[in-house]
Amino acid sequence: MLKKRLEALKPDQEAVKAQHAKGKLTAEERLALLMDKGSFVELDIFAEAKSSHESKKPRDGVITGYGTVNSRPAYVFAQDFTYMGGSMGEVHNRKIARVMELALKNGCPCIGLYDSGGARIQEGVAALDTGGRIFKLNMLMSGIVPQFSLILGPCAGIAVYSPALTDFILMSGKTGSLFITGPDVLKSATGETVSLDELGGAAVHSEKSGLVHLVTEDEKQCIQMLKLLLGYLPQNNLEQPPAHAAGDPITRLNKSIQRIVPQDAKKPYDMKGVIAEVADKGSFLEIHASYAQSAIVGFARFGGKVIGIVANQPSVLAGCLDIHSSDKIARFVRFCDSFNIPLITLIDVAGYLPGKEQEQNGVIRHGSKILYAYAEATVPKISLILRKAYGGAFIALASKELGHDMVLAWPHAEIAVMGAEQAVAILHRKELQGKNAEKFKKEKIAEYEQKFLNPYHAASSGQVDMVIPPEETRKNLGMALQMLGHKRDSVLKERKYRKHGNIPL
Amino acid sequence: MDEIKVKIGGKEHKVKVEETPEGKLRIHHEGEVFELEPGQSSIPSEMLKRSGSGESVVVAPLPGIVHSVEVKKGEDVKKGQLLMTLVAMKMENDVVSPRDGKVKSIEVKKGQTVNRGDVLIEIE
Repeated sequence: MLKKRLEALKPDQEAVKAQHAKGKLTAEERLALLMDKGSFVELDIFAEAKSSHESKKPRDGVITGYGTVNSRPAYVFAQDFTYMGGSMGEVHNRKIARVMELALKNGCPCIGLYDSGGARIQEGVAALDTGGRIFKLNMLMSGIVPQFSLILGPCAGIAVYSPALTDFILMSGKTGSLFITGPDVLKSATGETVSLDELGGAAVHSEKSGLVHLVTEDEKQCIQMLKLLLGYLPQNNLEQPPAHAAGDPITRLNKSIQRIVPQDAKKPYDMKGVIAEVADKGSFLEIHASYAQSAIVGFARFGGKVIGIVANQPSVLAGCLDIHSSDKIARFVRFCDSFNIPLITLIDVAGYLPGKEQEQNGVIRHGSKILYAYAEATVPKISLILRKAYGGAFIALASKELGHDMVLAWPHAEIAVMGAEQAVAILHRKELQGKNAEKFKKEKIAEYEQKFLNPYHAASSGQVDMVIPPEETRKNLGMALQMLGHKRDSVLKERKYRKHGNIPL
Repeated sequence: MDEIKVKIGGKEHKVKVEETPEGKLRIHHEGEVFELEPGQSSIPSEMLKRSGSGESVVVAPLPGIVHSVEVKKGEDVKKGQLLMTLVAMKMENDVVSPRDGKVKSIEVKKGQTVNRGDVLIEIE
């Protein structure tokens, strides 16, 4: 009897062929790539839709269950596009919600493999309402177990909002797309004609919308990328991220670092070269690489231990903090804080990006998210000022009063409210209108530069803890991490007295 | 939806035009959509910039002062080649060519202040 029932689950060969013709794998094939061999246990295999449509089959278009990924337990669901286009009906949604609940109860990562046209139209409002259950669980799990969404096919409607509520979205560039309303519905609703790629392809979401964190060429690489990412993250918020044995000595000197970073603070360079030099060799995994590129965020290892890196990128927009890079940094900082990942911030920037376009689009509202996120975070927070830290960017990325634990600086670091010329123009507005104004201005600029454009003014008042030689950067960051290894923050106590904070959104 | 050719700054562009249910004109150009009120004759400024950045016009990535111009009109340039530097936010920001081509015109001079999105150089 069981055998006969299982027989009915065999996929329709025509539909499988069609799936392959689109360059896509089936749900079974994807799970075989993701899960350790023989580890996967399927749940709710005989669940079927309540309504009676002709092609009704057990499983209801989604394979759910648990197993191990690189020997670590995880809960998964994989939507089956060959069954009613992967559409999300009531039972389909309840099955997904069930594995999410199990992931939460058992403190394990939850991985969704998405390939769905959205709510199942035939089932009406029940399909929508149970979608709400999935979203609520996404919220409940947030900050407790890491949640991942792999976008492997065209995803629309309710199939996009659950991924958007998870921690990381990975997309297969060839086959994946995300949109609220597909090209066909759009055409009939507003008359607009747009292609799938323009609406929600990999380029749109990795460069413009910022929705997707990691893009790979195809599905296989997407699943590999997920495994790589998982390697940096703990099972849940009560565990530490997985540490490796330290292969690369923490005392290694960074002899080439001064060839990477020009002494002249006006010359741009690629900060990724600095990250590669100071972190454990080959350990950096960049997140949001194509989005808001004036900031860099990602995971790396230091002496085998996982850390989160936030850095300015001087070769893009002078490394300025702008609307999108603020969102990118704030979300990354909050993720790291949720999952016990210490933060290292590498600073070389003159401030927030000025100008009408940024102000009108809300650079203050978005920029304040960075302040909130760093102030709220209780994980160890170490900042290094390489060449420049001015104004608001100094406060956001390096202020000890805001909550940064250790602030290091290179010997030529400039730390001030603003540049010398601008400061003198404001401080001596009246005198600069009189005779000998040019000479006076030059003197005052030199005076200002000598007083403020070095790390010692800040170090003398305790805003900078240490001035370090650039070639000893790795060693000093490593020692700071060690020193802060068992940090406990009293902010945690105060949090008990409120439901949640109100981060500016 | 009709496809028509329009000339912007001497360069021809293919755009698709359609009328929305509200009676506005919707223009599709290289993946971007712009809406025009009926009777509006000017082209939206976003589209002008965009029609440029569609490979041939290089715009200022941030507000600043032109620090140096590294190429001459008529010069052949390669993708990634340094075209000019803009001083902004205490940094000499490199402006590089988006593609291989020839410098058609240089729209700014050394020392000039530019806003984000201003056209700096045209490449053909």
